[in-house]
Amino acid sequence: MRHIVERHDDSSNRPLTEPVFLILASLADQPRHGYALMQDIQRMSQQRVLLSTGTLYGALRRLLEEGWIARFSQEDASREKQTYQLTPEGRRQLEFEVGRMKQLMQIASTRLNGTEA
Amino acid sequence: MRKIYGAILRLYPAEYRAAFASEMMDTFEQSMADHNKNGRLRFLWFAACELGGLLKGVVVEQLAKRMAQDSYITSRCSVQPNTGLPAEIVEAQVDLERLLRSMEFAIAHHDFPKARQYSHEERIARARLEQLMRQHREDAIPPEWKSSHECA
Repeated sequence: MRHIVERHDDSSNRPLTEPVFLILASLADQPRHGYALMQDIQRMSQQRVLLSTGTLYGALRRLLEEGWIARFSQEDASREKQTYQLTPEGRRQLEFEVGRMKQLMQIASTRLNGTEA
Repeated sequence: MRKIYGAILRLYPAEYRAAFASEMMDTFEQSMADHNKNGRLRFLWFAACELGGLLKGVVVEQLAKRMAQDSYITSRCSVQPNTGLPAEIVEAQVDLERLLRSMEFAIAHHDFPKARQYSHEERIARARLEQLMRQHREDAIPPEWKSSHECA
């Protein structure tokens, strides 16, 4: 049996789920529409993560509600497409998560190398 | 495949469908065309993942909607327990209040068929409450006082 107690100073600073992390990472360099997001996430994860549309749009709905991403319409090949972009708050959350992961990686690497005092 | 996808999409809450359904269908069609090129087995795997993800999404979104509605209703309900009234009247008051808040929530979220349904249930609940109140007032009158009035 496992007991995990996590302390979070701010409720919005919880560790991100993998789909949410990948969506934010995909939007970090440029805005994308739904299908482009799916393809980019597949590429970034080296074909490991294949998001279904149900999972993708569920996550997008929550991120829109949190204000971490914004949606705008864009003309694409004569039809309107909804495009998503990262908000400053979304970027802050992604940076926070990357920092958290770096810290964990550093601890794990140090222990694996057996150099910690 | 498109028909099955569309049928499952209809199980999502109305508000969610209005915001995302056509976009989801577009994305799904693009993705389906892409996976069609990769052989039958890969396509079947894609179809199973898509339908599974979509069904999971229905459950998650319906639950999210129900939780949002419950928290809205709880935060807005103002019925205070009145110890002077019988339990069934208090229960009827709470029921009426809950239906009113549910109707308010449905209107705010443009779910008009649901709002109409709550409005109908609210009328029935109100009639029941009025009947209970009348009965309670009648019961509160002493029988001898009632009979003396009947004679007059």
